[in-house]
Amino acid sequence: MRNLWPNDIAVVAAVDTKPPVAILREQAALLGQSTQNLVEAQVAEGQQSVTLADGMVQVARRIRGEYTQPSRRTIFVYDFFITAPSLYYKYRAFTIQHNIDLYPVQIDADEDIHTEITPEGAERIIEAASETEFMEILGRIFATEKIRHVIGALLTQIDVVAETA
Amino acid sequence: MTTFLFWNLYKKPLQGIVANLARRHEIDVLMLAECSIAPDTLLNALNRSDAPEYHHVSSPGCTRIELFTRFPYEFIPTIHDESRLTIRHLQLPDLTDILLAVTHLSSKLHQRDSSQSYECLTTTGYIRAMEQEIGHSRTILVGDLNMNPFEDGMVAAMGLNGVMCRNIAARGTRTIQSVEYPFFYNPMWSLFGDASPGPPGTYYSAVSEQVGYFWNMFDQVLIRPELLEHFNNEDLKILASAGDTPLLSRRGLPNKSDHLPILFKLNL
Repeated sequence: MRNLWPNDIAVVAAVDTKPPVAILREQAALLGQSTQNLVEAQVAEGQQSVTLADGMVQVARRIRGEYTQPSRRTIFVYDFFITAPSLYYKYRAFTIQHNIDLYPVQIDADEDIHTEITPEGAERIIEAASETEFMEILGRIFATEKIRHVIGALLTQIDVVAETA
Repeated sequence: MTTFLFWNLYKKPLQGIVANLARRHEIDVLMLAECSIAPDTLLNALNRSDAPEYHHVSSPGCTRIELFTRFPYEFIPTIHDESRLTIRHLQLPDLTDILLAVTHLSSKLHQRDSSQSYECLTTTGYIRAMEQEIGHSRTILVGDLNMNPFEDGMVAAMGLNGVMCRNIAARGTRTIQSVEYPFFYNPMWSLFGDASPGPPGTYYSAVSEQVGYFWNMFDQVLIRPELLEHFNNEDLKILASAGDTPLLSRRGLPNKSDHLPILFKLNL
């Protein structure tokens, strides 16, 4: 049988753009280093059967009485958690979603974080069109009072638990 | 029996009444929304008598709910937190462990109906994720959902999938287009209207539009089928008084907070 595939089909083109999940994992590791791993960050795969954008479309269609079915687009969803393993604690800071093209990436931040980093009345889903924009938004998220409060409260609680142990 | 109370306090200084309810009903888990009372102030009010001591079980990520319990934090750790939702794994010694999800969803003043429905969708998603992580579905969802039991987000399969009949919930799931959706049993349906025991709802709002219900059932408790054997409908009440202190005006409308508290028990 004649092979119709190009010879170089399996050669993966060099990718200059860093996938959003890789950025998240790097940042997650850095938080642990800053807190002697007392408070960590965790990146976990989100649910793909109902995604942010798809979920909203499906709900809107349901309300209008239209026939709906689960989306079959390939969508990558990741949750970013702040965790304190010794306290069995986990806080969802934000969720990201993108398709096979990596960018744009949609960010669904916890409401308190969203309120801090966006103007009043802004859309709930923040979109980053590029790796640069994504990192800028992440920087703003990590600098919010909410994130500081969560991490500070956890470190304080861990101290209290350690003292009474 | 383990006794639970949820109340949206409307930012009123109701610590005396809350403490009264806690003592009178021997509340084990006290869940409060729109609570502007400082935790120490409320603990002082709760811990006056010789009864077991209450603890403020801190949840730094969930800013909309305050929890006070008779148990130390290690019996009710947080396994998922975000601004409007906290999911706890309640593990009392020698008793059946459950997931307790407490929420204060967005109000209709700030969200369209479709956005509220979407919030139900994401809430369900995180509950199911925690059920998968913990390994069971013995889950209670309680809080101010800012929706009535019949609204789309509450009944949609992709939403909370809450049904009004035990025997339907007991089927476990329903399947739509090959996707299984687990039920919640929503006993709040049975408390609607003035022919039901207690007040006709939990929140009153006079409306000037064509469609209006006046009494709403925004504060709800929903129960997974796996917990139905631990729950009796007779143990679910909308409270109209705290002992001698009425929570309703002479016209029969909430006059302490704009919501009424809901109390329920589980035989764990």
